[in-house]
Amino acid sequence: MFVKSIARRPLQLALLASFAAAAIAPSHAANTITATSSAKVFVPISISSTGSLVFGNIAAGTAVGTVIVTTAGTASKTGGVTLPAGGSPSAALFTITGEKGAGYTIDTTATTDLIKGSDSMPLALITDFTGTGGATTAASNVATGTIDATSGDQVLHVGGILSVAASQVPGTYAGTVSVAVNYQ
Amino acid sequence: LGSARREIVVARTLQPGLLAALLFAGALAHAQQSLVPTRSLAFGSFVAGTGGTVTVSPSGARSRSGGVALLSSPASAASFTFSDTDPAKANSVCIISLPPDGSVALTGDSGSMPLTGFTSNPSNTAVMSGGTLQFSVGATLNVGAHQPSGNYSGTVPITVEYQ
Repeated sequence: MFVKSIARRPLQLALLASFAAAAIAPSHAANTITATSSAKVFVPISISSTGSLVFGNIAAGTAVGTVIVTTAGTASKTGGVTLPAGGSPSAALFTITGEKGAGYTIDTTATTDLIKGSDSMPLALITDFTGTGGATTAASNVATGTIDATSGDQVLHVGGILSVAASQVPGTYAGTVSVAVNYQ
Repeated sequence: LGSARREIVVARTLQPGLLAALLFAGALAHAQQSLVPTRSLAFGSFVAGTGGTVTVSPSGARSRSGGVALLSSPASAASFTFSDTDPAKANSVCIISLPPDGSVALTGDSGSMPLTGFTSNPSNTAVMSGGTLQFSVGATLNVGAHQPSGNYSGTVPITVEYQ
């Protein structure tokens, strides 16, 4: 009997201690957790001109006409215009560089007519990414692009449709093809 | 010899009781409180430009300063749920501790961006409702001039304790 009572007491104390720990520990414990956080810094988008849109030599007629340079750089005409040899027509090229795989918008509204003093010829653009030049109207122009996931750039080919008035005043006409790009 | 043998017998019969008590204590401490992240802190995509800041408020609204240009992309405040199954804690006052300025940064392959201005909603002292406290955390990301492009990530430690 004597031995038994000694053995019990230390164990009972241990039992109480464990309950006390259970009751106190949670109410004073600080709960710490980590949340993940993220951000993505894009490569700045930029555009550079690597070729001009050239219509070459045009002879105005007695009727209105148009000169079309496709995105492949091939010139053709409609109406009263003729195209004398020479002048090396070409499509404009723009290289857009930015975040690989990112989408962007294309804005060409700041493009101007071709002018010579007070005379002018309205210019509309034809755009694509292939430069294959199938289109002769602005109907299938590209409004958005995607930076190539491997090279990190994309080339925009720009042709144009130039409206030539009957007996358009001779001379050298020049304007600005303006392309603005922005991430979507 | 006789007394030594009796001691062993007594100890054996009491051991299961002690074991049960310890298991109970462990289960009690585990079930009572939990702090769970339910959404991460996302600053979305942007162009660094000449540098500046991107701030996500606790409501998840994103704003910028300086030369940073924000891009259309998902952004969110971090959110957490703290709960306690102990009925005595149902309406307790909690203290939410957020990291001090500059102690946490998002790191990428070739740079890092420090986080400052951590804010929570509710603010740092909040009352639980029905044993639950939900709160959101926003912060300001400091973007360097021409910060190297790429993905950045980091972890934000949040602590909740009773007042």
